[in-house]
Amino acid sequence: MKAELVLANGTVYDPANGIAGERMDICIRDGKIVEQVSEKAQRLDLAGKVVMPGGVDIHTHVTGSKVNAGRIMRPEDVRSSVSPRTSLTRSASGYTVPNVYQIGYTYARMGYTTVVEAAVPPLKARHTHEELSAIPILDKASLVLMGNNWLIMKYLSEGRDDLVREYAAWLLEAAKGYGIKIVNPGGTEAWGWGRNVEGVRDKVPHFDITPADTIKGLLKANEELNLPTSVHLHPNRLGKPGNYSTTLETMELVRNATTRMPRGQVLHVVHLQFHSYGGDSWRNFHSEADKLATAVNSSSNLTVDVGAVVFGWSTTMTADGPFEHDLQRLTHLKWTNVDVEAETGAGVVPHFYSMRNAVAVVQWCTGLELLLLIKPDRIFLTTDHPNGGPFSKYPQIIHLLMSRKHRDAMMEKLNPVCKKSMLSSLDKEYTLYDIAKITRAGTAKALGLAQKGHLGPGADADVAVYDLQPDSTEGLEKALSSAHLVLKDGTMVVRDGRILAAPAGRTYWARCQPTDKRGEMINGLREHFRYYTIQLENYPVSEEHLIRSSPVVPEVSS
Amino acid sequence: MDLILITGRTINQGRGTMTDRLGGFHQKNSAVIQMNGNDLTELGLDNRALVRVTSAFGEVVLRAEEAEEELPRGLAHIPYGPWASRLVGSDTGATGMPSFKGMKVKVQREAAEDVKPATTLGGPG
Amino acid sequence: MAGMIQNVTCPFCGCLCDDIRVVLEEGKVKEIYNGCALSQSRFAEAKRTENRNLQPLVRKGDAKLPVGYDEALNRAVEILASADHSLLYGWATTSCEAQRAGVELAELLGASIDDTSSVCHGPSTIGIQDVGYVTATLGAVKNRADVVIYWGCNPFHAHPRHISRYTVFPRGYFRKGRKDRKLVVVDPRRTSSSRIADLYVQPEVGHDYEILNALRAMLRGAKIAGPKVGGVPTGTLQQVAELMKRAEFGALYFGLGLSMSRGKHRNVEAALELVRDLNAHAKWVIGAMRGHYNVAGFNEVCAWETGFPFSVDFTRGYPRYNPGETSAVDLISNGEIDAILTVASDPVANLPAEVAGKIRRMPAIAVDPFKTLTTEAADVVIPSAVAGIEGPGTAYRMDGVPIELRGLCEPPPGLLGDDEIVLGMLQRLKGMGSR
Repeated sequence: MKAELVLANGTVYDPANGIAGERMDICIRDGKIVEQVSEKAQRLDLAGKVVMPGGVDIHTHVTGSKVNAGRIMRPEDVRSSVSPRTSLTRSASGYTVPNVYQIGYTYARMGYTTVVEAAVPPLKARHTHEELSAIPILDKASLVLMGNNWLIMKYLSEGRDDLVREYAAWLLEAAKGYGIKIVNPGGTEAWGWGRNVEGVRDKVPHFDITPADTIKGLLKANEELNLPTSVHLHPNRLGKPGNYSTTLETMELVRNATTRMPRGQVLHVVHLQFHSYGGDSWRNFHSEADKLATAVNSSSNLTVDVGAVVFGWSTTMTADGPFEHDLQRLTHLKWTNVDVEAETGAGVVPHFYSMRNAVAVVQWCTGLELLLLIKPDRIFLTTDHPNGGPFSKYPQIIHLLMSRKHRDAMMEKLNPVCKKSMLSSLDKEYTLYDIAKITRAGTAKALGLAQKGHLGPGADADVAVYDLQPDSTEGLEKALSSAHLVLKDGTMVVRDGRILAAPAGRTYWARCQPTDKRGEMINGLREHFRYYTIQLENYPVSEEHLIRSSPVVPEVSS
Repeated sequence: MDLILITGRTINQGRGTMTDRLGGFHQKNSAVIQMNGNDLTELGLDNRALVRVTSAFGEVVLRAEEAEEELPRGLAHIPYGPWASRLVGSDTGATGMPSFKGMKVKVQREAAEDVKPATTLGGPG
Repeated sequence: MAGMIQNVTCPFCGCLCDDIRVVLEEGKVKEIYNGCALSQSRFAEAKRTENRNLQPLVRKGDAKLPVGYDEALNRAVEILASADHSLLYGWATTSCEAQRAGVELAELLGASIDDTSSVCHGPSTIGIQDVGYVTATLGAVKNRADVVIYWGCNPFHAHPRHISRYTVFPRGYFRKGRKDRKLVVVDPRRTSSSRIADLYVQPEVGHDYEILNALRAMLRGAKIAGPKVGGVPTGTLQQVAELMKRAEFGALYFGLGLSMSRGKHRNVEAALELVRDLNAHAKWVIGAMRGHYNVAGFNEVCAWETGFPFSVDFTRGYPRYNPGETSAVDLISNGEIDAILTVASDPVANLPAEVAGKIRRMPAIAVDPFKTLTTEAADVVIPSAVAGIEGPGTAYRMDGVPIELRGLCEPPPGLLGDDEIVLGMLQRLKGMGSR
């Protein structure tokens, strides 16, 4: 079917193609953006509306074992936001732990069309894919946890980079994942004994390596495999006062690393806000965002996402098991933990960011400082959903970025510690062009999704149209929460905030070619599987489990 | 004799639910009340004797046997199934869960009736 | 298909062992290896046609007459669609694919959906909703645990390979096997599981709450007054507390002894809190001994689909959850249900007799491979293939690890899987237009 459509006269923001608020037509045929279409094309007049590529969320915890554990543990969150089914939509529930339908519909209403599940334990990857398949509308990809994987650590300690590469490739296919994720390398393994690691040079208990070895080793494998995205890393010591030095040290590890992939970055540091703290206790806890900003801005091979805090309830959930134990000991709220044999772990603890609480306010300032100080090409907008707050609050953050006045008004309501922050002196106001970078153009590029995040010919026709005022932030949050129009592969899925259609989105994953070391790796894997409690043959997720399986086959380097 | 009752799984009850839910194997293994040997003696019961067991919610005729999974005096065990269900009340105390364990029951010799087959059970009366 | 098939997943208990080797002969299961006695029965039963439902049946007058699937499904949907408040119950012994379809069916009908959790580990989930759940997959215990406690459960009878394949006997990365671990069993009965324990603790029935809290108090340095708590000598409890504190990695597995006894979810909360508290001293995890092979799967499916894990009411078009009000036994007992669909479950046998009686008196549709008291009572009987033996699907082990089920043999001629049956009902209901 060659459905043709012209989105005419809209004010287009397409940073990947250098378009900053030009009035122009976007032509669509058969689900793709094209140069031109025939006269028979349907025309939609979007005069006075803002047109952007569909949003691409680079880091969000929406599916799988720990997310579902969060739902099960928090019926109070689930029932706080419930809507009944309609003839077109399923019933939706949940605020920080939404059900699969709430996730799909809410992102779509916000004009987002692609999301990346931030962390998947390979033993339970099947669970992630069952949920991803159930999320309507969105295209998705997932990142596979490898930073505490026993076999990875074993091969690293033996100096067998070739087998690290081979096993990483195999794991990606077994878990149907798109990229490599590292969370608190060595720390979650130490948590298997109730411990943690204190920095990148700490030895991982019982394994003859350090977090630095893991980061560098997986980075090397990632680049040898020519994976579309870089390694995504959640550094050690998340959430601790003074952790900024660990983050800087971590970034320093990759200073000279390069990639030949179009993305440019060799490392994507996730939710940087939680890793940017100074001080040595909760009393002198403060932001060191400027130091992190300098490091990121002066690098040529790093990207980050912010992991900003939004006041109100969140549900913290991460593969950083020991962090959640520490948080629970601080706040005494309910705590779920799921260690995953030989691979990783996870923890879930509800959390309330209070406007009156100095620590929460410092965190809020830190996130905004990072966003205002770091070049918008390098930093992306996330809340590490649902850790910093629900993704449905992105428009709130965007408003704060675009209006100094609004930031000042907000700070009047907060614990006065914000008056001492660097934030209070930052004048910068984001333009829509910048916003488009941090929510779609930049994220798609960092993910290596060439057909996403832009509106040039060849892109998927994922388009978001917002009712935004050109020079004012009035009504901004509502406009960004409830898009005027959203197209997914050229099909209208949202109109004035209402779901019109809920087609199934694609699942992207990396299918790497094996090398001649595959046989040796499999023999080692077979030996290793005696430490698991399922059979090796039953471990990989079959492609039938995925909805619209869309493998990406990286080129093999010689 | 007054006893505390727990209901639960046994291997043979499990096998019975699979191979023979409506028949003799299941009945033999699940229409039983397992008791402490001394309690059986005090009641003057031989192994596999018929007894009437009564709770606040209902009654059922079962065969009494000495438990392999040894019970202390005063405690009895009946495997899950339609016989046990006759003794379980439907008041969940607003938890969703009826009292399947810990009910007070009376156990006495039964002279007249035999164990009813499963197919006649499933419902009061 | 003939020959030996490796790596088959057993569809019986929550262990969901996936190392079963099955020998087929003439397309039927001849024998199995690695499976426990329950597994043996499970694989053997499928081929005994005398216990199978072979044809759909619909009650017409006093008799139940054989019909085709089409007529049976039509009649089923007719019953459900004309009910004010129907209940879709069971689900724990079938695939996730069937469970998902069930949730959608309940939502479309404006019905309630509940699985056997509400009479099993439902109270455990309620406890988790207050305290949280500090747990690990079974392999973490295999590899690391030096202390394993079974509390209020009898694994030798209900989960026969739990101790031998997963927790105490196997060689793990850090543990050589039985000799490297201490096993504690807490049970009012001197069960066969307790006989291999290094320490056996015998509480009185219905006193676990005090005992668990006494242990928590001891962990905080309190001295317990009196010689016993809940029938257990204080000295023994002190021993247990010391053992727990000095563990390198401890695992506590609990069963229905906690969730079904007086106190119910409060007993489980106490155990969850104990393990949480222990983590200030030593690494500990806790695990619920989920009974059926996919009861955990239903909670997962229901949670991602509706937000809630079980006992979901859709009568207002959106999910509501309040066990004690929206749970199966309460709904039926309170007279709120006027039609029931059971899938792979036998509530007429297993629910309290008063509830069973009410089920008998209401229009009932039973989907089951086997003849049960529920199928005998039902007005519509829909035969199905046995998931995991005669058809594929996904299931979740007690620790949340999802494993595939396989189809190894053909079901009796013409039989559909539970998922196809439920989807068939859904299709027909959608075809009827909006209610």
